Amino acid sequence: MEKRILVWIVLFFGGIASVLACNYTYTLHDAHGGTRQITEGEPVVLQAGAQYTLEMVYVENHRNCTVSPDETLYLLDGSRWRVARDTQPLVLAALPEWTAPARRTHAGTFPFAAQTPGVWALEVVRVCDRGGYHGTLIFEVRS
Amino acid sequence: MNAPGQTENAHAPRRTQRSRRPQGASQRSHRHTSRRVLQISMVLVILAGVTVRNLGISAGWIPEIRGVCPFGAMQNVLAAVTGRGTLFWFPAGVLLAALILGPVFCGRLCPLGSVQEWVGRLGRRLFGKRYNTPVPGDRYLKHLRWVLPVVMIAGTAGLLSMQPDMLNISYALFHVWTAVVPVSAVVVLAGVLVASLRIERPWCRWICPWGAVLGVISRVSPWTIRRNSTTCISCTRCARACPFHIPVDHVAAVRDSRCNRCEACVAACPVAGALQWEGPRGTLPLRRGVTISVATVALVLLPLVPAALLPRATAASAQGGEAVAPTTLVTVSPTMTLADLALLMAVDTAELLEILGIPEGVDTSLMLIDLEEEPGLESVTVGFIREQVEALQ
Repeated sequence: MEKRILVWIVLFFGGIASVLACNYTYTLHDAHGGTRQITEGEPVVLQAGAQYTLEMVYVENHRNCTVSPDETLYLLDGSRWRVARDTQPLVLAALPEWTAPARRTHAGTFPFAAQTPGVWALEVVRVCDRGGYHGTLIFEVRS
Repeated sequence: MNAPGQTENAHAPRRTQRSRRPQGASQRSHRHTSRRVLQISMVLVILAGVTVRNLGISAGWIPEIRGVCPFGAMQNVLAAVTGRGTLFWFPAGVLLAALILGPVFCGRLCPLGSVQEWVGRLGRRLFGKRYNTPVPGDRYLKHLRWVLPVVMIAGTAGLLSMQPDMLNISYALFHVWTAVVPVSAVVVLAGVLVASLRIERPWCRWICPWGAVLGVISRVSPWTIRRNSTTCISCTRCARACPFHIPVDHVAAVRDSRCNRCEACVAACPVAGALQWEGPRGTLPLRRGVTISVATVALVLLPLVPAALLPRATAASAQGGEAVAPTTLVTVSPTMTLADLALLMAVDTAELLEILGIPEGVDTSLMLIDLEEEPGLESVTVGFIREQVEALQ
């Protein structure tokens, strides 16, 4: 009986951890209308030269981190992900437009071109006194 | 009147009851006092910390117990499971206490539970015997506590549009005068407090997601309140004293997930040793009622010890100029300043500038992310700095 309860506890936490892991969800849209959910830390394969749109949605949790989406840091391979910075392997085409589809929910889209083959890390960093967030997306660009 | 199904010593004569040694009044008093002291202290600590921070005063000495509210605890536990959480320490202590002693946190430290209990005391005065009468189907209604975790999962998975904060009454309770509390949470809080006038701890009984988790974990706790069937005189005082109407007089050990170990049953028992805390190897050495309260605080705070010591050890190492502390991608944060990084690496700033190839005279209060904006430092990105730091290790 006790073992059964422990197993259920582990299964419960294990099961919900995957969906409650963070406040961010990431979706990748390609030029052909295809859509992929992105999991942090798991590589996503991109085709060199292709255009993509990365959609980010984050929900503020109750810790009230006051860092706005615009103040959030986006680092590609360790440097700021900037618009039209063609020295970066993923070239950001335009500044993200942030909307608020619901209260405390923010959605933004990042159109970009996969330019340079290789494995690249995109970090999303919100530094707050209370809480904060640091997520890493891995993109593998293949020629 | 004995309840149906009551078997052991059901018809023991009252003389037997009198002949046995009753629980000492002083022990009962200690039991209640220690619990109340803990409850009041916890509410005051939270209230003071929250109020001071809401006034815009931020200082390290102001206590902030992260993960004390039901939703915060759930979020922190889940974040820690995936390795992203750093606020797990307090909920970890609560889980540890539940695993060993049962949900003692709910009965002694949870501010929301305490406030409901105090409102209930007012209700007892207002309604007398009509206060906290048994609710039909209560033993099934307790499963409603699993609704919120399920809804939280569904909401996060995108199946439902729901945010837990809309119902976070613990947050509403302490931040009610600020603009950031959702109105819905304030409405639910008001409803719960009004209900508390008639029913003991309605939130804990039927809604609290964290209480549901702790209640299940407590079913495997080795130490719990156990009834000695040979000495029990089946007077039913324990069951009548239980605020959650758990049939304590019918069970060998209290395993009901609603029990928050408030010990009202133990205090009500007229026979010494008939109802007491017991573990797998016998009775707990409870000379006075304070033992469980002390153990609760110790267990809940236990994980905070390494949490408090670890950063100090790192800082001490940095101050003493000893070996460089392990620095990872996460510890080299983009918002860290050059001075912070020098401290972390236990080098002076001039040496750090030399390592990074940065000319002297650069403002060391600049954040690492901003260095690439400086003229001539375009190549000094956070990625470059991380490479240099890693190369040194």
